[in-house]
Amino acid sequence: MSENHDESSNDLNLVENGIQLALDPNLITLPLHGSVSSPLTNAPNSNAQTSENGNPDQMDVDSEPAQGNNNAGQSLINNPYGLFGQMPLEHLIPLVLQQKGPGFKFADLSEDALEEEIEKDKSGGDEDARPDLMDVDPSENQVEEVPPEAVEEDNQETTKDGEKEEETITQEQFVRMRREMVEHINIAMNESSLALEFLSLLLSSVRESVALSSMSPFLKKIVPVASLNSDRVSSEPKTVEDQLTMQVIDRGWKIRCLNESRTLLKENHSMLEEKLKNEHRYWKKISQYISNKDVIFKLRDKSTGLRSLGVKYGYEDSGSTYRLDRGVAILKTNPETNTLELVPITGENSPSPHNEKFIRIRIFTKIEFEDDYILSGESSVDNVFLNSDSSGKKDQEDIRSQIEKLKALIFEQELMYQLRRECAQLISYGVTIENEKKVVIELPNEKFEIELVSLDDASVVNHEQDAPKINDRRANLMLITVRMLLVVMFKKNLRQRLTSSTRNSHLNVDKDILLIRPLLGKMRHQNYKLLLRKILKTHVLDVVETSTFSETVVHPPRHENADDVNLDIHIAKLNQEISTFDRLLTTCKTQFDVKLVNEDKLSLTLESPNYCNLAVRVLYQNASKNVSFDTRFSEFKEVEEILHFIVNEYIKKT
Amino acid sequence: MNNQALFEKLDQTTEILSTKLGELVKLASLDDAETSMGSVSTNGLLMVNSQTMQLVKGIQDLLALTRSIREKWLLNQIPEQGTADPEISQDPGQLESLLEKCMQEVLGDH
Repeated sequence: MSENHDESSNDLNLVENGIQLALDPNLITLPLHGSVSSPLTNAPNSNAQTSENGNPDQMDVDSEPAQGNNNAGQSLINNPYGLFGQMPLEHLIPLVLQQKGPGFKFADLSEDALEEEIEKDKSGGDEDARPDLMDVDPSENQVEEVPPEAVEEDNQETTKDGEKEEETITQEQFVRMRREMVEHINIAMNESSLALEFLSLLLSSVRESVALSSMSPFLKKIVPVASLNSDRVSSEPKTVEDQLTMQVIDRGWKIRCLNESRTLLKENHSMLEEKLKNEHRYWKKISQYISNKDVIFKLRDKSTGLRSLGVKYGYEDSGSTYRLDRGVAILKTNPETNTLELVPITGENSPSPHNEKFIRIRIFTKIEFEDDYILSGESSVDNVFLNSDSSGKKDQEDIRSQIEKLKALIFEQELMYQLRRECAQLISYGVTIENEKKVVIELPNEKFEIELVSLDDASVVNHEQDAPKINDRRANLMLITVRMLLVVMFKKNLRQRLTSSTRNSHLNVDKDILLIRPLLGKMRHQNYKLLLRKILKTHVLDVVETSTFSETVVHPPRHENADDVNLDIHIAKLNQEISTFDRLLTTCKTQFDVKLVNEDKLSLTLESPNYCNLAVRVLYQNASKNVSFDTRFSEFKEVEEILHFIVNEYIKKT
Repeated sequence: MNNQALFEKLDQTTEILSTKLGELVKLASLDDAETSMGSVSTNGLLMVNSQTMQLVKGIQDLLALTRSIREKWLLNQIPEQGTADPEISQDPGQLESLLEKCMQEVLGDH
C-alpha cells in the first residue's frame, strides 16, 4: 500500500511536473488513449474497466490528486507523459509507431494530423471524461462509504496494483531482462558449442570422419584435426623419487651434450692441428726458398677456392712482351705427396700447357761433293731442365729450382716465339721454318736447326750416350748468344719503358727483334770475307807482285752517351749493359787495305747492311795519275771486274 | 689489415675465447638449482653446443690471423739494399771480349 502510494505520489509529482514542464501533456496522452498494447495506455483502459466494474480502488488512489487539481481534468490523472517524458526517444518512437499500427511511418506524423486527432479525441474524450468523472465521484463516495472493506480490497488492490505495476514497469525491465536472457542463451549456446568442439576435437583423433561432421569450420581451419588427445593425468605433487628421476634425466642430458661438445672440440682440435702443421710446413718452405727477388702475390686457387700465393716467374716485369703465357704459378701443397709445388696457371691461349720444352740447336755440316748433311754439333740440355728430372728426388721440395725451371721454360718458349717471328722475314736469306716448328738456317756449307724439343723427347733422353761431336761447342755458344740477345731485347724494352711513357707491348719485327740476324749477318759476312779475300788474291795479289794486304775489322764508333751522367742509375746501367752487345748487334764492316809498291791506295770495305746484304766499296787513289775511284757494289762479280780493271789499267802500268 | 687492426682482432678473438670457455665451464657444472626444469637442460644443451662452436670458430680465426700476418710478412718484405750479387761481376769490357771470342768460335774463325 505504502509502495503503491509512493508510486502514485510519484506519479502525481510527475504529473505536476509534467504539467509545469509540458506545454500540452494531452498532446501525448490523448492519442495514446485508444492503444491496447502499451501498459501505460492500459491505465485508462483499466480505468474504464474499473469504471465498468465499478471498482473504486483506482479512484481511491487517484481521488486525492483529482480532488486537488480538479481543473486539471481527470484525463490527466493517468497522463503517461511523466513516463513518456522520461523515456528516451529510441523507446518512444517505436511505441508511437506501435500505437499507430502497422504501415505507419514516423515521418508521416505531422502536426496537422495530430491536431485533427486531438480534436477527434476531444469530442469523444469529453464524452468519455464525463462518465469518468461520474464514475469517480461515486467511487469516491464508495470509498468513503465502504471503509471496512478497505483492507480486503487493499489486498486485492495490491495484487491488482502488483499486476498493474508489473505491467507498467516491465517495459524497461522487460527489455533488460530479455536482453539478459538472450545473453544467457547465447552464452549457453557458446558454451555448449565449445563443449561440442572440444569433444569433436578429442574424438577426431579416434574417429575423424565422425568428429569432422560436428566440428565448426573455424575450428577446422585453425586447429589441425586430431591434434588433441586425452589422457588421465594425475596432478599429484612430485614425489622425491620423481624429482630425483628428473635430476638424473637432466644430468644425463647435460653429460650427453658435454660429451658431444668434447668430441666436437676434439675433432676440431685434431683437424686444426693438422692444418696448422701443414700451414707451418708451407710457410717454413716459403721462408726457406722464396727470396725477396721473387714476385709474390696473393691469389685465390680457382680449383679449390682457397687462399693461396702466386709466384710470377714470367719475365713480363723484366721487359718481356710475351703474352701467350703470363708466367704465373700457384704455390700449393700437393695433397698426395704432401710437398710444396708450383703449379703454373695456364692461360686459355697459352700454346702448349704443361709442356716442358727447351731449345736445341743442331749444326749440320755439308758433306763435300754430296748433297747431304751430317750432324756435327748439338747444343746440350741445360742443367736447369735436368735438375728436377734426374736428381729431382732428393730436392723435390726445392721451390727455388722449380721456379728456375719454370723461368727457363718460359724463356725458351718466348725465345722460340720471337725467333719464329723474325724468321718470317728472312726467307730470302735461307732461313725457313720447317714443319711449323723448326727454324732452319741454311748457309752454303752448313745448316743450323733451331728447334723446341720436349724434355722427354727420345733424342734428348738418349743424349747422354751420344759421343761428343766437333761442333757441340759451337752449337752451345750459338744458343747462349741467342739467349743473350733475347735478354738484350728485354733490356731495350725495359729501358724504353723507363725513359718514355709509351709502352711498347708489341715488338716491331724489323727493328726490335734481333736474334738470328746478328748471328746470320756475322756468318754471312764471314763468308763474304772469305770470298773477297779470294778475289783479292786472284785479281790483285797474284797479279801485282810485292803487294800485301791487311784486313781490319771496323767497329762502329762507340757512341758515348753524354747524358749518362744525368740519367737514373738504373737506366745508365741498362745503357751500359746494352752497349756491351753493340758489336754483336751492329752490322759488320771489314776493311781490306792492299799495300802497293807506290803510294797508291787500294782499299775495299765490306759491309753488310741490314745484317745480311752485301755491299763492297772499292776505293782507289792514284796520286800520280790523279785517278780515284770510289764505287759501291752489291755483287762480287762487279767487284772482280772493277778490280781487274783497276789492276790492269793503273797498277800494272806503273 | 694494418697492425692496429691485427692487434684488435687478436684481442677480440682472445676475449671471445676466454669468455666462451668460461661459459662452457659454467654450463658444465651440475647445479641443482638449475636442474629443476627439464627445459633448462635442453637449453643448456643448445648453449653448450653453440659455445663449443664459437670456441672452435675463435681458434679458426686465430689461424686465419696468423695466416694473414704471414702473408703480410711475405708481401711486405723490404728489399735488401745493394742487391748486387758479388758472383756476377759486371765488367763490360770482359763481357765484350768474351762475346767476341764466342762469336769467333761460332763462326769457326780461329
